[in-house]
Amino acid sequence: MIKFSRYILVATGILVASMVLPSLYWTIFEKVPRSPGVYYSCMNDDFIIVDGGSRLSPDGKAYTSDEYEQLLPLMFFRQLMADGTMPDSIRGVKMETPSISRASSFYRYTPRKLDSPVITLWPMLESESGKVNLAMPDDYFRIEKRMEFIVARTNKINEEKSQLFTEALTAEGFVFPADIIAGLPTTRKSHDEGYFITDSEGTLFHVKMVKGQPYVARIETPEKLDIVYIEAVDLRSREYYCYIVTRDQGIYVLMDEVYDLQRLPIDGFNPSQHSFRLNSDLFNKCITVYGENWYEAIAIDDMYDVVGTHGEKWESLYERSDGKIFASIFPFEIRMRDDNSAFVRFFFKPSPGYRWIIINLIALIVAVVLIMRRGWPLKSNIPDLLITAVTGIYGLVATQFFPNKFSKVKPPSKT
Amino acid sequence: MFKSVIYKEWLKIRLIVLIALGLSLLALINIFLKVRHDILFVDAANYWYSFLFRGRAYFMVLKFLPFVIGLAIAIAQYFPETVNKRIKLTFHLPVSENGVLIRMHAFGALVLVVLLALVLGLFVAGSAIFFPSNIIDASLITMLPWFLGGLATYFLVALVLLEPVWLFRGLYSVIAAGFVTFFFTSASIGAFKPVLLPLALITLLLSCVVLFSGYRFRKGEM
Amino acid sequence: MYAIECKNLTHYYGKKLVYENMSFNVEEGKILGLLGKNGTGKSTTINILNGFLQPFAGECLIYGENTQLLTPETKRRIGFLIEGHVQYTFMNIHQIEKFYSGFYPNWNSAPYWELMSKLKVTPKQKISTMSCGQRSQVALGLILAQDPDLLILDDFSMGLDPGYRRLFIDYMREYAKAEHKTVFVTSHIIQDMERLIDDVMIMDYNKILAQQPIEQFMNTFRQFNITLASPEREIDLNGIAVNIEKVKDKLEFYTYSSEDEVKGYLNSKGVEYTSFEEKKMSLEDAFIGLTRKY
Repeated sequence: MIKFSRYILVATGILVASMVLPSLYWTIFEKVPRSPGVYYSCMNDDFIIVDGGSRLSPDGKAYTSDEYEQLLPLMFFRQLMADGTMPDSIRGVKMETPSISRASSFYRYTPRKLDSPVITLWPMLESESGKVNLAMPDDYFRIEKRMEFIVARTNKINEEKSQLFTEALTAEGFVFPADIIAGLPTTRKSHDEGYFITDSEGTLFHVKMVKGQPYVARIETPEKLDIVYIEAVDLRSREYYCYIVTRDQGIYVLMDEVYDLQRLPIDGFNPSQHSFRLNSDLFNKCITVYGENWYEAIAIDDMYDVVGTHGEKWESLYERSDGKIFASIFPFEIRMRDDNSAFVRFFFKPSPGYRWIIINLIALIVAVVLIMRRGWPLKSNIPDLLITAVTGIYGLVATQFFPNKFSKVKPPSKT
Repeated sequence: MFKSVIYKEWLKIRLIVLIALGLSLLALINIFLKVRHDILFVDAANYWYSFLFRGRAYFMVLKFLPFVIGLAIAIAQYFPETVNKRIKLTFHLPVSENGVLIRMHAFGALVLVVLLALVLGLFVAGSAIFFPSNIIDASLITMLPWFLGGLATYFLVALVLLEPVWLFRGLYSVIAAGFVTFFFTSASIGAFKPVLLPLALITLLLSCVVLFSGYRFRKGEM
Repeated sequence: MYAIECKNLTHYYGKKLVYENMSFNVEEGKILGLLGKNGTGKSTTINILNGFLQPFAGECLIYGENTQLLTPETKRRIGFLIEGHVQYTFMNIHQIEKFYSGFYPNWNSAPYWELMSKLKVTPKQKISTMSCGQRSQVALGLILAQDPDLLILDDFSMGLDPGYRRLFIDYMREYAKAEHKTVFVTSHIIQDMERLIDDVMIMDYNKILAQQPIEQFMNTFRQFNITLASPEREIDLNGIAVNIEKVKDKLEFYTYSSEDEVKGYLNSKGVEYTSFEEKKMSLEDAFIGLTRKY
């Protein structure tokens, strides 16, 4: 029992050391990782890469600030108009502020969005109130065994409204409970489109409230999609309702009104590892998929046909000097937080390669020397030595902080 | 015989337990008076909104309460045993040394658990007046690490206090501080859900580490 | 039959040797006093006896059980007074009696309350607010109520004024002899100890200097005060003396030998003296003579 209690302490020590020491290392030595932004110019039909302070063409030519703004007139139209350098028309389309801004949008997906805690209470706004401004309702809904509206002021269920919506959902073949519920629970948007909801069988529904009545549409997807993430968007152009990420590595947009699913021309998208940015303007969409040390940018026109691609790859963390040194000191690290998750977990990250073996060996030798200097027999310290050999610095720290005193000690030699 | 052990432990901690109970009740009353006030002033739907979509938790007052209670009970229980090495008296009682320490520790932990469970229970009861189960569940997931942290604090402070050598008290404190910090990592509401079970398991395992200090004491570490 | 048997004890603190191969026994029914200056290993011995210290080598047995592994039954037979009369000072005299009584089936609170009635303390007064002498009486009363067969008293005289010390010693002697108790007592204050103990064990750094019945020790260990005729002469008398303190021409000569043996020895060495007298010693004098003044 007492030996057991010591090993619990040693394990706790290793856990703490493997979280604190690496975080200390990174705080001091970590280099800023690259995170370039990619845009598609409608002026020269080519990509522009913004990396740190520099703006580059795909073949590495640097643009000045003015050149950059002029290459992206749809992004910088306010500046260009102020300068008087905004073209009157591009590709035969007359340049007008409302049409430019209505077509511009920027969305970003990160794996963190997929792995986030959600509280499944949502406000159902009135989509067609006839008022200019949207208003927050006084109740929130949840979809468990049925759809329920809970009035905040009383904390009681509005039975009538709940039944009304539950029946509407059931009528469309909704199988309770809901899985994903995606909407924009805010009044700061151009219009309300309610929620996009998958039921327990993965079928997609569009649910909103129109003049106090439920509007439920079952969306027939061409093939069985395994939807993992939906993000509702607020496009004044009303081009599409939401983008959808599926487990089969596809990104789709759900077209407005017609509920057609349009697959973006991207393959091999891993929603739990990769992020993407979706940058739209009057003529093109630029979709950039990011991995840890690469990006792939694809430009499409308004027919969703590919007009250009560009990609880059750079040194990954463990190819950089700070990562290499880390991997030769620490055999692994444990983190509570991870860039790809909003949850707290014990993220175990083994260091690639075996360069840490040298430090582990040194730790082992130090442990042996310390044990022998104290006159403890090596034999009864074998578990400690094994722990040190495997966990390196962490094990050395932990076994020394909680010393093994269970072996009979030899008296010191007389001097 | 163990009634006597419990009697002694109770004499040591009863004042702290009463103060902790009072503080907890005050904290809870404060929370719910404030919730009631804010719901009247900003409208309940807005108040819910700030919790659901802005991550504004109404129970932050409780964050370090379990830590403080765990720390206080551990000190009240074990500090008097370390003055003049009084723990010798306990180990000299005609019962097994580990047995008596386990019972002392189990009693302290039980009192702490009952106290913290009471706080949680009252919190749930109060929250149920104003909020639906979804909000209460998320609140509990957010608060449970703090309550487990209070328990872990109790176990680790006992370890540190009973350790006879100052150097090792220092080293244990470093590990204990590092470990307890995990429980109080700032995170969004509900973010601790995946680690609740592992944290609870580790906390449970830590319940017996005080035996290690007790053993070192009995083997004459100076 | 021995209550305590310690065999070949060896212990170090770090690299500092406390003692090596030390053995001693305490007979049942006897009162043994372990005397020694500070730092000679008295507390080490007590800690080993109570199982709070594992010696590097050797072992101590109490009633035949290794002190590292005492069973509750044996611990019940041992009353332990910690140096400084340490007790749970957050309790009052009623609470502490209630606490301890739960552990000992033969608990007899009469002697405890008898002692407590003599103290001028209020029933609700915490032990922490009592004087050192009052605390000693609480600690003593608890041990008496426990009714153990073996009493281990570590430096009981520490912090006691003479009246309390005398009270403690006389009470303990009478009690031990009447109830046939074995007592192991340490002290660095030697005064009054001869009133209490049957056997004496005197420790010096790393070794035991004397271990015998107190009467035998007091009768055979002698001090002679000698005035030398030629004090400037270097003399080596260590063959027979245990300790010699020389100030100018005065010699304090401590030995286990008789007057005749000493005189014969001086003559054989050709040492001349102008006066020679035996000085009657108290235990304290003998202790200092044996262990030297510094």
